[in-house]
Amino acid sequence: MTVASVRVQLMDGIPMATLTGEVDIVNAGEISGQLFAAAPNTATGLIVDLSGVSYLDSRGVHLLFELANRLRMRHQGLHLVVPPRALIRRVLLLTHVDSVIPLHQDVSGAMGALKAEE
Amino acid sequence: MRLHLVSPRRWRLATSLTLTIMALAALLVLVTVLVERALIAERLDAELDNAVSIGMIAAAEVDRFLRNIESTTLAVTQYLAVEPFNEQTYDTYLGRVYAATGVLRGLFVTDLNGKVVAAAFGEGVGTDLSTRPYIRALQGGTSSVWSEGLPDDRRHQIMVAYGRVIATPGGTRRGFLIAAFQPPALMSALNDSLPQDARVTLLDQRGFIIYTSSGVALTPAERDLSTRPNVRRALRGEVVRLSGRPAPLTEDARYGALVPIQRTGWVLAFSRELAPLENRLRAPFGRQRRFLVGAIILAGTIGFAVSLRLLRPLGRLAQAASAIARGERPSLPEVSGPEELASLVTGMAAMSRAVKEREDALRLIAEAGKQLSSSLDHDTILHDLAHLIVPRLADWCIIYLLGSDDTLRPHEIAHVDDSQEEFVRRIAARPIPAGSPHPIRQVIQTGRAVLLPEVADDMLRRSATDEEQHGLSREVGIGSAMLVPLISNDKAFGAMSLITSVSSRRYSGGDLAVAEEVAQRAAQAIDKARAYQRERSIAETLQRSLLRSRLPDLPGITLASRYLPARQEAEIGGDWYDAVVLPEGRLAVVMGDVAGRGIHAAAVMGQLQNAVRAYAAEGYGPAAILQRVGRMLDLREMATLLILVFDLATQAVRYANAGHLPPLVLALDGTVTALEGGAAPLSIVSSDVTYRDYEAQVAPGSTVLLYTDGLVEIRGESIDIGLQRLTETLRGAPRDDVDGLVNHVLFGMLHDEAGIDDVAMLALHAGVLDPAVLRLRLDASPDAAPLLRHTLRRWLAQSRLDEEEIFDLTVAVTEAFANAIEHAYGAGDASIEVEARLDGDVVRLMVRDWGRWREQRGQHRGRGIALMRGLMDEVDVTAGPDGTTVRMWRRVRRGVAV
Repeated sequence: MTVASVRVQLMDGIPMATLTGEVDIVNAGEISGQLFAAAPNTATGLIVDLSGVSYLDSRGVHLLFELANRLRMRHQGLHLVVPPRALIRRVLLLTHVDSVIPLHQDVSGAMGALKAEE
Repeated sequence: MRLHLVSPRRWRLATSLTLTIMALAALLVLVTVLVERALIAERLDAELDNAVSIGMIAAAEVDRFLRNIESTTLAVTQYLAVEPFNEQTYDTYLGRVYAATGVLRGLFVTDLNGKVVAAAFGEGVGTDLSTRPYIRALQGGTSSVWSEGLPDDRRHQIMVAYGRVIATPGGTRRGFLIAAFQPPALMSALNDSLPQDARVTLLDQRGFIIYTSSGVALTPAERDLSTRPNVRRALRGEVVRLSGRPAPLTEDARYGALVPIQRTGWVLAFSRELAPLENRLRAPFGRQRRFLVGAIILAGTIGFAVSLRLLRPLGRLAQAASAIARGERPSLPEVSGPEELASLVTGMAAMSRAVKEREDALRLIAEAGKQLSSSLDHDTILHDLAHLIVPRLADWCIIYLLGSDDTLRPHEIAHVDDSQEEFVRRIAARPIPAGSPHPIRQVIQTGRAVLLPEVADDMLRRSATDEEQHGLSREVGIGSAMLVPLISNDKAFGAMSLITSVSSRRYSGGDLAVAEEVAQRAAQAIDKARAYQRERSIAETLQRSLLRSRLPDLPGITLASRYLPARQEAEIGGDWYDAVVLPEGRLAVVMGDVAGRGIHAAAVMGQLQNAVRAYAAEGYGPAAILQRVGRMLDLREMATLLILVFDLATQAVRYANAGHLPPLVLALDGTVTALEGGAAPLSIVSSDVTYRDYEAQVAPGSTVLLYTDGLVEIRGESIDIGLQRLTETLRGAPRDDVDGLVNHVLFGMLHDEAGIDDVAMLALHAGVLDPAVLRLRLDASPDAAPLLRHTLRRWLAQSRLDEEEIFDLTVAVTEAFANAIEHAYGAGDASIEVEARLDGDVVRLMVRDWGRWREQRGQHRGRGIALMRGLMDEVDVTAGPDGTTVRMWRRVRRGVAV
């Protein structure tokens, strides 16, 4: 088992999940469920803060694509917070995550983008 | 009577005949009495041996209790040594330990002047104890001390105190910890397991009674047994046998032993009443005595008859003699004539033969009881049984056991003539199914023995399964037979057939009684052996499943473990260890000890192991695991537990210790340090105790040694001395060979002999990784992915690559590994080889599996390859029928830091 944790809070009525630790083949499935559950039906979308993620590979990327798909079916948007110097940024860019899911440098950027969608 | 008819010649004849008869009778009496005395003396001796061993077991139990006090206080002083002094926390902590141990009457801490500074019962804070001898001894420089029996006036009880120095890891003395208890607290538990008529008395190092199970109130003068010679011998360390002489405190005759307890210099006296034992031993000889009385009366009558010249009835007298020989009560014959001298001689010969046979029978029964009960192995007992019976009771003997299918199968065969054994085996080899007319089936059914004085041919035909067997039986010749059931719990589980052939011997009722006696003793022994085997095999299976024979194989980490059962213990003990790979690249090593032995201890070990693993897998730290395990399991027995977590990437250890001895670390330069910091053992109220994590850094090349107390405890030696010896021994151990280290320590501490207690050891060697190449062979399982990442990280960090490069290389290798897991699925060899090389400023990674290449399925597989190509300078995949190899390289910025 790999250790990662998901913490959920509401900011101005928008759910934000903070993911910390390592995401890999072992725990991706469990995290996926927790993140999806973080967004209630009524919410416009979900912000996932990846600032505290120290490891993420193609399994994590798959998780994000899948999450975006499931949210889209409920007409909810997914926004990611990834600081510019984050180690995982390169992995997200190489797998073109940014072409489907908007990446933001900080939480306020993500909040602004999501509010604009309302 | 007309005396004038007696001629002088007849007188002479009659007189010499009388004298001969009387002499023969006297001889018989003498032989019988001597045999009886010898047999009783032999049995008494055996019972005394038995009592001495019970005494030694009781002393070992007391020793175990004292050792528990020593190790508990050691754990407590370790905690107190690192905890800053605060009366409140000290009081609370002592209170918890006090409650947890359950047997203490007092637990307190004094300063170096002997003034009580914190206490959980016992002495009040502020009390000055500086005049007490044990405080003086501690002040004098000793690290721990056992007091003599101390009168506790408030409770009119004797008290014993154990004192231990509280010293910081640096060696500065901070104060003394004193634990006091009343000897009855420990003895009452012991008494339950002793025979009812047993008496146990405990003497302190001066020879004063500190406890006696007799319950008699004693004055101080009566307590003093120091002047008794046998007590003085025991105080000097000798085991003293008590046989018949009054034991301490009693005037009635008792037997037993005085056993020294070297740890404290005490003596344990164990004794039992002699009178009931003697009565029990004499009882079987009652019949023998009646027989003797008959013999003497008969001899006198013959003398009387002869003196009256009435020699005619001697024939009848001879018959009477034969009757007595058969064990019947003689009716005195009428005396009417002077003939048949020859038959008198025959009768008397029969009588002396009968005496000899009885003597043999008694010896056989006694020997059967002794020999059969000395073994706990089922097959050995049956083998011994067959060879006790042949040749003394039978010419050949077959022992059958009843299978679960209700068929009787021969298990053991013995023949007086070894060369005939094969022949007998051919006759008896066939199983006897239920419903067979063989008479032994009837024996099994009724549970009653059958005597066949003459075995007729039609009987042989009836019991034979076919003509061939019938022919064989006739050929070997069967004279007389006895079929005797082996009965346990009112049910026959087998039977034995005793047969005479080559000898002309014919069985009688007396022989059957002897055979039944022997069978009964054998059945008891087999019963005991079966119960024991059952328990032992369950306990062993449990323990084997707990003691991992295969320790995790981690790059750069070597583990070695040993488990040595105690010397004389029949049952397995409660020592266990474990090593588990945790998430985040950490390795947990666990060492525990559960009080008690056998199935129960093994079951508790199993619970502990599972609980620890479960909490560890959830990511809890050592102290949190101890806390939760203690709360969850609600243990009724003393259990110590040490959990140490080693971080593969940083070489840091985090540990928490519930009453276990401190792990030792041997560094590359040969220094040995103890990982201090302990708390109370897990037990009933362990949920009240707060455990704490301690941290330490283990330099590369060091070895951490975990062990159970059996390693440092030689009977009579204090734990402190044992620990010192272990530190010295470890200092001289090999530093780069963990197996050699474990062997060196075992040999140094125990000299290749089993100890008094079980010993478990686990050593963890944190080696330095080869900077040029890292080779791993991993299970083709997702669970191995974190391990791969963390090991690669540790290796790359050692060569001072920057964080981003480490991250990229780690992702690339994990992607290749994830692909390999998919290939390896269904392959015979489900392992994956990973190799990393640092070649100048180039890092080369290779991942090889032995499975079959599968075309890309799903998007994330495609993404995996895209990531590898994006993160590395070049990626090359070679797929073949024997597996797939991924080779990739990348130039790094600070790669040349070897």
